[in-house]
Amino acid sequence: MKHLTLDQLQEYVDGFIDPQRRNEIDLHLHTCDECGGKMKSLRLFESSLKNIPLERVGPNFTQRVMKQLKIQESPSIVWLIFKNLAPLLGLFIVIGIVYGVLKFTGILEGPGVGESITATQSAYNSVANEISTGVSVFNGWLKNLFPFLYAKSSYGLTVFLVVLFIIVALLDKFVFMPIVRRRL
Amino acid sequence: MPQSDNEIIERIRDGAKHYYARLVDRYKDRAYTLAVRMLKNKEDAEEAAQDAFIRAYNALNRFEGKARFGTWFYRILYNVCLTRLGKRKEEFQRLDYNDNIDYNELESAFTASGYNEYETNDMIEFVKKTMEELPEKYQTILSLFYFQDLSHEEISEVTQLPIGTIKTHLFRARAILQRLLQKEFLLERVV
Repeated sequence: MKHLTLDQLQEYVDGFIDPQRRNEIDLHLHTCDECGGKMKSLRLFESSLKNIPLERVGPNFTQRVMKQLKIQESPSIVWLIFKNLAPLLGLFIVIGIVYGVLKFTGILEGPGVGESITATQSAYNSVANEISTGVSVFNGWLKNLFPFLYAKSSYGLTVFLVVLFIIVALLDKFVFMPIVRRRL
Repeated sequence: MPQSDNEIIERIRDGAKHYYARLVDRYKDRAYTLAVRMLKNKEDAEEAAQDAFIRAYNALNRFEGKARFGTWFYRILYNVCLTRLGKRKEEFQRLDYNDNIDYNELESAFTASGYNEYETNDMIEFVKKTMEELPEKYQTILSLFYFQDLSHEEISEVTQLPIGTIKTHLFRARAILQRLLQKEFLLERVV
C-alpha cells in the first residue's frame, strides 16, 4: 500500500470513511512509521483546534440582551408577593382615600350619619355573632373528628401538622407553581 | 426545570419569557467566538451577537424545531455578521483559489518530527495564534466545525452553501492553517 495522503488521513480522523477502508488504513498505520507519525501529528493538530478556548463575552451580556428585549430576567419572590397582593393593596388605598375625603369634607359628622353608623354597627355585630357561632360549630365538629388535636400530648398534633405540610407542599409543587409559571 | 433547548423554547412560548436568559447564557460565548472570527473585531462581534439574540427571540415563533436551535440561531448570527461585513460579503463567500497552497510541499513537511515536540497547552496556544492570521472566511468555517461543533450538513444550512463547497472550504482552511503552522514551527526552531 502506498503512503496515505493528508486528505485520506483527514477523512480517517473526521470519520467520513466506510468501515472496510478504515480497517485497511488501520492496518497500514500499524506497519508504516511515516504515516503513523503523520497521523500522530494530525491528531495533535485536531485536538489542539478542538481545545482552543472560546472567546468570552463582556460582563452582563445576558442582562443587556434581556433589557433590550424588555424582559425581566427572573421575577423575585418579593415581586411575586407584591404582584399577587396588589389588588388587595389597591382596595385598601381606595377605601382609605374615600374615608379621608368623607372625614375631610365633614360628611361623616353630618345629620343622620350617626344613625347610619349605629345601623352599620348593629349589622356588623349580627354578622360577627353568626361567624362566632359558625366557628364554635366548626370547632365542635373538629373536636369530634380529630380528638387527638385536643389531647394533652402534642404527638398527634405534630403528625397532623407534618401531614398537612406535605399535602400543602405537594399541592404547591404540582398544582399552584405550574399555574404561576404559566402566567409569568 | 427545562433542560434542553426545545424544552426552554416551549416554556418561552407558554409565556415564561425570562427563560430566554438561559438560552442566551448557553450560546453567548460560542456565538461571540463565531462573530469574532467573522468580523475580526471584538466590539463589532459583541454587538452582532447581541443583535442576533434579539432577532432570534423575535423570530422564535418561526422556529419549527426541525433543526437544532443552535443551527437555526447560528444562521441568524451568520447573516447578521454578513450584513455587518457590507462590501466584503461577496468576497467572504467566494472560494478563493489564489491562496497558492503547494499541497506537495505541505505533504512532505507534515512529518512525525513536526508538532509532536510541543506540550499540549503550548500547541493549543500555538494553533490559536496561528489561526488568527487566517482570512475571516477560513476562520469562520473552522469555528463552525470545531467550536460550534456543527456537521457538514449543518454548516451548509447555516451558510446556505452546498455541502461540497463546505468540504472544500474546510479542507483548504485546514491546509492553509497547517502550512502556516509549519512555517511558524520552522521559524521557532531556527530562533
